Amino acid sequence: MVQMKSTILLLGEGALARLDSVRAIKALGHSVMVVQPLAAAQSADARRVEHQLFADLTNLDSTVVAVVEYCLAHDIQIAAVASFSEFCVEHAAVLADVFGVRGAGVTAVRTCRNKYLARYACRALTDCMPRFRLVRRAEDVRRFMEDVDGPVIAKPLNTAASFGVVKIATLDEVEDKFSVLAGSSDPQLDAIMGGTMIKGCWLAEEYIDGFEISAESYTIDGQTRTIAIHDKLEPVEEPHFLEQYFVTPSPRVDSALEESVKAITADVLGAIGFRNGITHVEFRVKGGRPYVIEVNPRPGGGLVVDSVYYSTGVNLVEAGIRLLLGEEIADPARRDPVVVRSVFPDEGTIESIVGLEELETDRDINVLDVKCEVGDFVKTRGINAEINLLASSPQRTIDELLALVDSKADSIVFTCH
Amino acid sequence: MSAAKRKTVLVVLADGGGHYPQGQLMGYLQEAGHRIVIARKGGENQDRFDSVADDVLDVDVYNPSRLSTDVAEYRRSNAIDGAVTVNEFAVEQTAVLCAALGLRGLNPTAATQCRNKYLTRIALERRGVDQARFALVRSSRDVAELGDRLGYPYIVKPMNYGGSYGILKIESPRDAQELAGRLGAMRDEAPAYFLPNDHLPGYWIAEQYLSGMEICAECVVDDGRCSVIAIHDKMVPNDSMDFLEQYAVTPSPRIDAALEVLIVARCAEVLEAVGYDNGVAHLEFRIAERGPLLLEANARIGGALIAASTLNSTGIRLAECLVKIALNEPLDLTIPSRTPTAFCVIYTGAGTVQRVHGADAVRNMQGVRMFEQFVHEGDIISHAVNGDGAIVLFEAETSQEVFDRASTAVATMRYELE
Repeated sequence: MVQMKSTILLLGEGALARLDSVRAIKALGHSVMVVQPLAAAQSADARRVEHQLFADLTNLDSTVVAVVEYCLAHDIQIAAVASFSEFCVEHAAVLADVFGVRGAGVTAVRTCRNKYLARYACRALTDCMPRFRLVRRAEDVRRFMEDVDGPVIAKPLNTAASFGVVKIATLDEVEDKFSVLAGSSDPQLDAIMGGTMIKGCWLAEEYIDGFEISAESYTIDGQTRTIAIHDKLEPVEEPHFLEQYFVTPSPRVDSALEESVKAITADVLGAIGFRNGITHVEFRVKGGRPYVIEVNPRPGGGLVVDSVYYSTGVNLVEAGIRLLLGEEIADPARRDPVVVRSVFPDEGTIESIVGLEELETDRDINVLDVKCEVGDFVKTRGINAEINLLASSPQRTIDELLALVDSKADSIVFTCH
Repeated sequence: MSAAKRKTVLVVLADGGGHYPQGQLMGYLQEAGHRIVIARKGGENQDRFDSVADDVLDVDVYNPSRLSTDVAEYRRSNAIDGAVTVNEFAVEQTAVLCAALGLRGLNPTAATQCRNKYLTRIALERRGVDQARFALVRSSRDVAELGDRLGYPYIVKPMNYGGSYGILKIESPRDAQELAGRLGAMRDEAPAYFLPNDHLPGYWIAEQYLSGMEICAECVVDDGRCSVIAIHDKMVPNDSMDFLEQYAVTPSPRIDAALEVLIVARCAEVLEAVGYDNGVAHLEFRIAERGPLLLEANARIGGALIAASTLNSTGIRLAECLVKIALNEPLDLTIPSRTPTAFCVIYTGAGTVQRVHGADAVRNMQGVRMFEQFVHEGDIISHAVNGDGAIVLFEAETSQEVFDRASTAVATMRYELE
């Protein structure tokens, strides 16, 4: 019988839900405690763990107190604290400090969560950071556009999933686009963030006209290693900056670009002071040069964790726990091609979805991730409703996998009214 | 033409005490020739130092992310070499700001562990630092059930308040039944500015009541090295009168060398336990039979006239230490001698002030170094906790003598209320 060691504390869900990661974490021989939002239903994963706590995750202070109190009451010794959810990474960093275990670093996580402060921390890395400015009025945007002499991207400081992001291409658009930016609101996101969304000022940054990639990395004691680079293939643009594809390894990422991305990822995380954990850093590549556009102190969303696993054999969630426990992470032994394609229903109520049953038993599709069902109301195309397909095979090229996934995706038909 | 200013220091001002320490801080910054930038929230009564500031930023000082963002933007085109606060309700935000901007200061986790009284206790427990028994309280029912666990009497207080607001002392099971229902109401008696800073409205901490003399220690912490600058003895048990503190005497006639060694060692243990790396701390203790036991750890300069008393007694200006730590400048903490110093607070009680007796007599007493009267005839005091009528600082040849002077002042000056 395995002797249970101290407890791994997990906050929120996020990427934890991918790849049966709770089972992988339990296999490390520790007991597991999961903290979920008050309104959450008990998930199948949660039923498999030794401790489950429901807490007001929108209030960092009360979450910390509730977790500490629970651990005291149940005589729980914490071995590691982690979160793979955008909205709980800060809680995890604070709790790691409170419990005196290895963590990402409270300031580093807070810096990543605030897009302006992330750029401020990296301001000396001028070769790989778009020019940026804090804007409060349309006039600020106009002046910034004149300074950079070109289009800009403007976005809220601390939201996620491209919420509220606008591209302002010309000076004539400034007033209208700024109104959209300033008026963007989402009650659901507000509720998740517990009123912590920063309002009244936004980040404006130079628009980089290039293709978009992301680096999936882990950091141990401040040393960063990038193990996969995803290419989003198609332009990620307005109105919703939807990501329809990502692939790894990309034929567009040559060895020089790969080395550059790896070095910049390490430099950026070093400038931010990120100590331990999994990160998802996004870039735009222009003229062969990568520019950082987002730094996330967690694994990428969607099927990024799955993609890294099918490509390299590394489960980022499990690796994220192992590194917090002070264990070594083995270098990936392989780099198989992976293609992920997302299919989005149109706006309206989903009346039918055709083609799913066949895909569920399709051996060419490694992962079918269905995030919508008949009856769902889709307010905005690409937000909270999608079907993701992942295909991977060492015997196929990226182009072959793309053709395969496209044909499968085309078999899915939504009817929405 | 004035000499070039040396460094730029951002001072974060917030509601909630710190009147004298703010003055000491601004005085030092001016004297040192530093450039002063004030961050404060418009609409609050925090503009009294605007005239000495080189620049004033109207920012939301209560939102750490927003404060850091606005100051970072300002710093892209203006120098800021250090950031400090002396206000309890700005401690965490200032720590977050310093960390985000790479400025020297108290780390955010230590600030949080000081501001949150429960986390302070947890940090001490984890490090095995001897302390009072404690428990988390979420409801009046919890209060009624704590007697067996903590023993009577015990204290119940909000998790992150200050200034003795909202504190209950439970002496018996009957008290627990009768007083527990007042938890929420006690909290509501705090000034309005407490509310936006109260992120734990449904929580209290209960602590075993400790008997013994109450003292506080002013600590300067530089890269984790703690120097205890002064120890004030509160002389009279302050568990009556809404836990208001009436006296502070330094050095204490009741603290011998052996006890001082224990206090200094306990200060270092406490600060190490909460991870205190840089700044000035104000630690409060009861001297129990088994030694000094922590009441509270405050990540700031002590309130009332603690900073003035420390300066008068030791020659060390705590605000200067705070700034020098922020600017990474060398500290001289040499104390050649200690002048016996005491201060006392003349409380008004609640009501409308009809007459004030004895103010001139106290002002003219021997050894008075400072006299400030805040409440005058006609003023209306809504609650006894708000009733700091006057404050007086004395010095004398001996500690006993200086305490006697303070006691005489308290007996001499009084407020007649309707």
